[in-house]
Amino acid sequence: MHNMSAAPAGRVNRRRLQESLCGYSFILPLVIGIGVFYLYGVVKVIIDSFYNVGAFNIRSFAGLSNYKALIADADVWSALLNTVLYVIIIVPATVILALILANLLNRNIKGRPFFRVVYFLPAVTMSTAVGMVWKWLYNRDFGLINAIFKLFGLGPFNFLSQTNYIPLICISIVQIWISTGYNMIILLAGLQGIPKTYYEAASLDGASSLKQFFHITVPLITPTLFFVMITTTIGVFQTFDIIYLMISRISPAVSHTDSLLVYFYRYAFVYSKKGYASAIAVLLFVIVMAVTVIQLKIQKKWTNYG
Amino acid sequence: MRKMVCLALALLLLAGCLAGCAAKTATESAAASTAASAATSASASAAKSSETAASSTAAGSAAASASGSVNTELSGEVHYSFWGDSGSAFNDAMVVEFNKIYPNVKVYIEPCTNDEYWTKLEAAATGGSAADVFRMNGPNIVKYVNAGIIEPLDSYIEKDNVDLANYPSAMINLYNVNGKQYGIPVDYDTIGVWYNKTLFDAAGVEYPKDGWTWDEFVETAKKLTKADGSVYGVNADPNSQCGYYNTILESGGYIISDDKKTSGYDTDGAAKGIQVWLDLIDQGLSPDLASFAETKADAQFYSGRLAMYFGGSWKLGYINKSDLADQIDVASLPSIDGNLTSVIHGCANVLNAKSQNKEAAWEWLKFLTGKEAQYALAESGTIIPCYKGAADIWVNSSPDKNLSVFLDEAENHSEPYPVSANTSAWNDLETTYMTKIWNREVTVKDGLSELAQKMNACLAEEP
Repeated sequence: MHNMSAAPAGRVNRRRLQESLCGYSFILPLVIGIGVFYLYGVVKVIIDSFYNVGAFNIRSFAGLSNYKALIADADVWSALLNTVLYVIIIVPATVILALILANLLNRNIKGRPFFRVVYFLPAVTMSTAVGMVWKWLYNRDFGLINAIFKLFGLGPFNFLSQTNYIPLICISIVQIWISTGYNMIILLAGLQGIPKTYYEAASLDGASSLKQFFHITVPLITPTLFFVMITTTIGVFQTFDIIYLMISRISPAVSHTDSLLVYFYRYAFVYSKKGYASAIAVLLFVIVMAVTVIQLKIQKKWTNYG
Repeated sequence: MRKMVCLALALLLLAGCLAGCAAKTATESAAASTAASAATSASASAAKSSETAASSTAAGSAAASASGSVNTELSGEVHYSFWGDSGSAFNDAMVVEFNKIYPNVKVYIEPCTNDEYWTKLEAAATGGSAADVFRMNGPNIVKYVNAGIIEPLDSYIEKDNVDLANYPSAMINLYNVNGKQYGIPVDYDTIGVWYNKTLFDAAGVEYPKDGWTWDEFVETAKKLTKADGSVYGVNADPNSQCGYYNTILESGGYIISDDKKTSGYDTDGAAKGIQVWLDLIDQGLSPDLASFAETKADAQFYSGRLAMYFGGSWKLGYINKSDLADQIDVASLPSIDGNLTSVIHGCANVLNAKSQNKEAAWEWLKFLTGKEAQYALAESGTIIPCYKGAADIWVNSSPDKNLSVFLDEAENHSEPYPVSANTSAWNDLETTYMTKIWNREVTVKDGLSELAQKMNACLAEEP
């Protein structure tokens, strides 16, 4: 007996094809956009790293010489060290601060919408504006912070122009200020996914707020925490704009604050050595990829998708 | 209903496209821009010259007749980019004057800050979308000519009988590469010491005299510097054109040899020319490098923190706009070992070889470097125009200031600004090493000899 429920094979395939085509045509604009602006860019940078590309894209094949020069270049390694320091300082600080703030904002306090806006504002302010204002705040001779210090009789503090890692810490503070709000909103959304019943049960059993935080909130928010950690890490590895804005080329602090991306910009657009700059970009790409893979492997151990 | 709305929107988009295609001039190619840009091209100030946006005045140009040597039927767009924002208002006024002669040419002014101009220009030129006419300087002319970005002007100059004798020959030669003239000079500049008369009066110090020496200058700075750090005598930041180039030349050194093959940074004169600046900082007469890294020297001068400021003649416009406008006067550079030398440099306007509208662009270039515009430039009190006789008008534009020192230096005490085929390569080295030297990371001698080594390597790579 024929199976009456199965439609003839040809018609099913055509239907599926139509649905697929419909689906593809919907995502086509986005895929073209990503393909042209991202994938093509990535492939081109990897190819360019094997060439010497000078001003006006005049190019000549260079083989591995860019990479050899990269390994020997002390400035690249100090920029890498600076970048790693940025990550080590900014990522934990941002994530922990965002978690605390999200937790506080999860309660019904007065003016909650106001605080949410205020904490999120730095994330949506143009980084140019942020960089310029903070540069003025930190200015040793004319800045607002030192003016306040003067009122209390404290000497002017050199925030951004020391030949040590103090400027790096000051810039990290600005980046933490920018990124915390964004992560806070994401964590807040995660927190609101935790059923209130757990808290009720815990307080019935006599658990204090702190115990509730560490034994209910933190374990249940680990998926969101993981997402926030990965995106913040990738983002901080690419810090460029505020460093470029706040540290001028003649500053004593240049070698202690340059991130890999600032270094890349200088080679690509100031020195017009786009081949070498591409090699730096490839290095950054490999490092970020490695760190992300490691984080992905480790996350299985500590996230609970419960 | 929804279908009707969609259909109406689609038709609107299509109509926008066609409106862009309708009006085209003969000189522009047939490529049409997108519908959105066609709608906004009238007000766009960022439209690129190589992408041909529609010209809405082509229809009008056919109607306008006016015969004569001036081709008023010229139409289309001309984009002009330059740096130095003290020039924006002037250029806007020049567009109005230009349109009296060529009413159908739309000129778009694209000002830019000094720091970003070259990065932006190179990116635009690489992408084939640089402005039709743009400003060029000595360090970059050969690089751009060698890359084929700039159109030679000899045929245009001959056709229109432009008399190059009206411009200083040094400036004409600067923009003459391999026997072809690539630019017409617009302005020139030398360096002087701007000073704050109010601070001088408050400290009871006499104004600088003509022909003063470096030692007299240091003494003056000492008397002006206040112990509490609210006023410093002068700026000693590592500025090449306004600072150490001149002191190196005055000390008997040089920056680049005449044949452009060797660096002069390892000479004794160069070391001496750099040391004088470090001495100023060591003696407390100038803020340190960190201070200038955070706040630029001219900002410190305008805020009254510096009594004297090494600056070029082009600062006049900014000074007159600042709060201290009439409290400032200028003196010539102090001499070292009896030598008074200032580097002299000048910028030119050049024509983009890839311009889509070369005829109109040339007319704009010719107008800007012509007598009317140059005299107007002199009156605007910003930069010194090149055209014969214009500089004297410039001197009188601010009669309270001793501006003739700049002209005197230009005529009697100047050396050409050091350039080579790829100047920017070793300019970057200069910035790196001067920062290290100023920061005391290396000694003057070691820093300069390393700089000379690397600069020689750069020069060896040049064609």
